Amino acid sequence: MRPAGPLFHGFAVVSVSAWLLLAAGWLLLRGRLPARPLLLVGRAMLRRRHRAVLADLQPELGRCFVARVGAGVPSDADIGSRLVVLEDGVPLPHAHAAHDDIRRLGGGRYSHWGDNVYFATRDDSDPRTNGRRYTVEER
Amino acid sequence: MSSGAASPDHVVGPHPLLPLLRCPACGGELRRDEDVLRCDCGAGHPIVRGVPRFVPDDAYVGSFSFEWNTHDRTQLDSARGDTMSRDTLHEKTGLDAAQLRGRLVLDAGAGTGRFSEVMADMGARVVGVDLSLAVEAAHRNLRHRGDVLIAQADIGRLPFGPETFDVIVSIGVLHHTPDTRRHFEALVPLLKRGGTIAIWVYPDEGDYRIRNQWIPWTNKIPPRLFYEWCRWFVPFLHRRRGSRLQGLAARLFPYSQQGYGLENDILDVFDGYSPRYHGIHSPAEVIGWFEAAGLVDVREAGPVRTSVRGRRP
Ligand SMILES: C[S@@+](CC[C@H](N)C(=O)[O-])C[C@H]1O[C@@H](n2cnc3c(N)ncnc32)[C@H](O)[C@@H]1O
Ligand SMILES: [Zn+2]
Repeated sequence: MRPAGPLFHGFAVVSVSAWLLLAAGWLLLRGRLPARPLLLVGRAMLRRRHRAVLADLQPELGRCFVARVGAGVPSDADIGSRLVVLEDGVPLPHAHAAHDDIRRLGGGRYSHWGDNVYFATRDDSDPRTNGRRYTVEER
Repeated sequence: MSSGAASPDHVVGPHPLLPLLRCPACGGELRRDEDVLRCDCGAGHPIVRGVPRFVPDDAYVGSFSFEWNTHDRTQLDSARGDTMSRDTLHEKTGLDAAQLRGRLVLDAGAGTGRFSEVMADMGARVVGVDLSLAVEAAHRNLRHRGDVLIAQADIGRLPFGPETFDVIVSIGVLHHTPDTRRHFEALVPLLKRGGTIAIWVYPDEGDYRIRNQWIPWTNKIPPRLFYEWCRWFVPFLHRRRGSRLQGLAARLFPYSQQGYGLENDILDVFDGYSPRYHGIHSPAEVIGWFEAAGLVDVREAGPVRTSVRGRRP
């Protein structure tokens, strides 16, 4: 097949996008597409970026600890998280980690999932007793 | 024109699997008369560009004619140099070389022939059929092989006698017909007693459900135009991985990030949203069809949802 020229490409991008936006509007109005992701994005754009100190840290499994972030901050369970976990102000190295990896491998892996953040400290020490401060902030 | 007995261009020469073909109108044997396969009932089936044709055109699968001639080698293991299709075959059917060696296999809805190639490499003899002009791509890919024959035919009206095949596979095909169950049932009589049939159809869940809502809108777009859009859309979002926009798009318009390269993801988005028919089914429903068709040892074939296999007693 011959590659399309730039004119046809541009026409395809504009016309199909317009058609699909129309379709998206109709499907959302009829409740055939989930509106929640859209609401979350809208809210995330209007709201101030979330910043908080993590309190009430609970051991989960293996090297993993869990703390509540709170509802309304988009996580990887919905439209994707932009949350960074900081240890004494320094970001932990691995965001969006698989929970199994956090438990088994630790090493500063974390995941923002639903209303909670699951994380392992950088040196796998216990965050409740190692004397460091854990904060989260949306980037 | 080359010679070489195995080339389907020279089915005269003759392709070893050609005698399997029967008249879909009456079931009679076919005689080769130049570039036509003739039956005593008067029906004639032409061989065009090396491929026996049992349908007048590509009916409701024009999107696939376009898709598989545009991406004729994107998923072909021999062209990729990896085992993408071999692994997919195993995940969706549970079949491996030990179960395929020496067997006669029907690949129903063969597309570019990627699974036909993999199964022939495992020692099977394979007939690949497809309703679309994908057969031309499959023929280009596999014409050098005497262990694979490609034909253009409709699963609802296949050119084979009853109890012909040891194994029948149909991966990602039957939900693109107007009636998934009826087309599955059309395959069962072609299976020998003791033979195995394995299919995978779209599950009735998650992203497939969302896609199903889009289909009436996306499949109205001319294939060439929609394909060009996919070539923009997929790289656009890949570059924005982790952004709000990408997160939102992935939820509202699920698209591929399969990890087999950008071309494969573009192909897969086109593949998912362009077909005329897009059925979704639960594993329990599909298992029910197998049991009602009199198959035994019916079970989910592997880790992928709605992949089911069974045996003819
Ligand atoms: C998504 S493709 C899958 C191709 C191949 N099995 C693969 O996975 O690479 C579905 C194929 O089914 C074919 N198909 C749909 N309806 C068919 C029918 N009634 N008879 C034969 N082939 C059909 C289409 O033409 C298309 O090539
Ligand atoms: Zn006949």
